[in-house]
Amino acid sequence: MTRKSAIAVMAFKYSLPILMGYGVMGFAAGVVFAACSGMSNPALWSGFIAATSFSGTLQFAIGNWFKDGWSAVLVALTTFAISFRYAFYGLSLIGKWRGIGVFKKFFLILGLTDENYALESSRHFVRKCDFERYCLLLTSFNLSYWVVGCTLGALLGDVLQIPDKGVDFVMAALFITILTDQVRALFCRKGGAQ
Amino acid sequence: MSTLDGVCAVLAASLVIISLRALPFLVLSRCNGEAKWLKVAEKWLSPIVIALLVVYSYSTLEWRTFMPYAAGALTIALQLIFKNGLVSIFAGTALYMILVRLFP
Repeated sequence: MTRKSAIAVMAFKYSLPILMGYGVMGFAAGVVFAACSGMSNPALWSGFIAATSFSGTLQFAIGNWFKDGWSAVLVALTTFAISFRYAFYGLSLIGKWRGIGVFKKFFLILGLTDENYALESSRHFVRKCDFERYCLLLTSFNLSYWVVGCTLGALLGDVLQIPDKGVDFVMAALFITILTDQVRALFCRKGGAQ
Repeated sequence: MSTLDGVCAVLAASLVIISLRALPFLVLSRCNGEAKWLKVAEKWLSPIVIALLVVYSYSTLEWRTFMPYAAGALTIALQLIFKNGLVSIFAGTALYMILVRLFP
């Protein structure tokens, strides 16, 4: 297996828990949007919002804002309040993403969700180009899961019921495994034992 | 809501989110990637933020019950033993899904 395909396989493997989480959560968000927003073509809107914002909190909330006819200014202010944590994520990635081209970096910044941040900031590659490829593929996989989930939820929410009770733990489990690895790495480095 | 108002609202939200995510890259664009404080931030910020994300994700679960903690303990144990993220994540999630059905 070439280095490039090995990285693609690795990115896909790490994206599998996200497929489960984003698929189900995105579907649920699409259902909520279709039920609340009162818009015609809710699937189109849901997919559009998912692709341009890529934020779970916003996706669940915006249906009600549409229904209540919020202005763009009010939407912007509320989005700022609920998304402020994103402003800190880039701090851990400035060095790692240095040298990446403008368009690729813009795409990576668009995709800087909680989950992508956790999966990108916790991985270390010897070659910078490998890390760039890993981040781009991971973001592409995860963004596509989210957009498809949100669109299908708004499209099929009325006819298709997914048994999703408890699936939301998958995101907590993802963060727990990454944190476990990071804490272990910190202690091993400190003790120099491994 | 009209289509135009809807598009404006979505683009406003998108602009805010992308701006927030881009903020460190814009503000610190001239900062040397090898700067010492940035290395410290790289090392420590990530585990701290992920620990906060664990807490945040638990707040959306049945956190007053034993169930998420049992599933979390299984996830940690499997990760420490097998060092395989997929196994740990899916086993922990499966246990939680079973528990929330057994103890509704």
